[in-house]
Amino acid sequence: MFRTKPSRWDLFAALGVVFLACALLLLPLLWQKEGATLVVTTPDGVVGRYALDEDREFTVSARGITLCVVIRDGKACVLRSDCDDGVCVDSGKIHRSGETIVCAPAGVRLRIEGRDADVDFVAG
Amino acid sequence: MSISLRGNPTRRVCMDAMLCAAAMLLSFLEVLLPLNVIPIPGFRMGLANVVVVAVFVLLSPVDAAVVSFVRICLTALLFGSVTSFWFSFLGGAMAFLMLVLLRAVGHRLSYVGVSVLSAAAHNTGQVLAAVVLFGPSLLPSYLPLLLIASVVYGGAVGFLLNLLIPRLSPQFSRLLRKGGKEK
Repeated sequence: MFRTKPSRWDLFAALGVVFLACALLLLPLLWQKEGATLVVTTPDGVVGRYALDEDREFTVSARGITLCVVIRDGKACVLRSDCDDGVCVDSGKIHRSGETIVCAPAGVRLRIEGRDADVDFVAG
Repeated sequence: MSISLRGNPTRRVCMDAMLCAAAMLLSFLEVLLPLNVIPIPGFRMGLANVVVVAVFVLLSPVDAAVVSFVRICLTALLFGSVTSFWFSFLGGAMAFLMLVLLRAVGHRLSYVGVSVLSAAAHNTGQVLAAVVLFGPSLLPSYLPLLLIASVVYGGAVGFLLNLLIPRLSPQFSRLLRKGGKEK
């Protein structure tokens, strides 16, 4: 069905995938802007909007899992989480409009919204 | 050369069950072994795909689909969740569709290219699952990194398949000689 020795077509396939990855990585930078607001969403809906220019630390709980979220120097990240895989903690810091951190076991999503999004309220 | 088990359903079920167990074992092993050198959250090497591709080539696409689907269901039941099931299911479905496509048009590729493209399709399926479950904002940030990782790990799995397939083919033929028909 397929060859068992590497051929140049394998290289073309790999380069095609790398090219697609680079295009997906670089194109959004053309329209992404610095964000202004961190929007926190749980399975119950939007539970908070936090301005990125104010340093703070807060917790978000959903499905029995608690996340500790930190906003510092205009960037947000998950500092600690009770979830099993820790993907949210390993996701690093977000600060550009559209960037997202998701904790799948908890169903929590942290998303950066742009400067033209108003801060409607701040969860206590 | 692939083997048809259509005339022997019992042997077919037993063979598929054994191969599903092998795929699950490889899935479990890659969690235990520190093979994941690219630090992308939640990413795995995909060693179980060695079994799926081998079944696709040496038995039939139907057997490969069965082995893949049963492995995904059992892994989600034993070690995962509903969310992980949908991630694995969509990823596995996309990878399988890529194999079917490459079977028709990819004769110039070796298993390295097949594996790279299947891994890329698998990761694309997983990101699609994330988009459906959590919204479209994950697409820009996660998919490019997963695609690059799929080239590395898909290539490694492909090199493994290049070595294994020629060696497995006579083994499968001998094992199934009494119950199957060579095509």
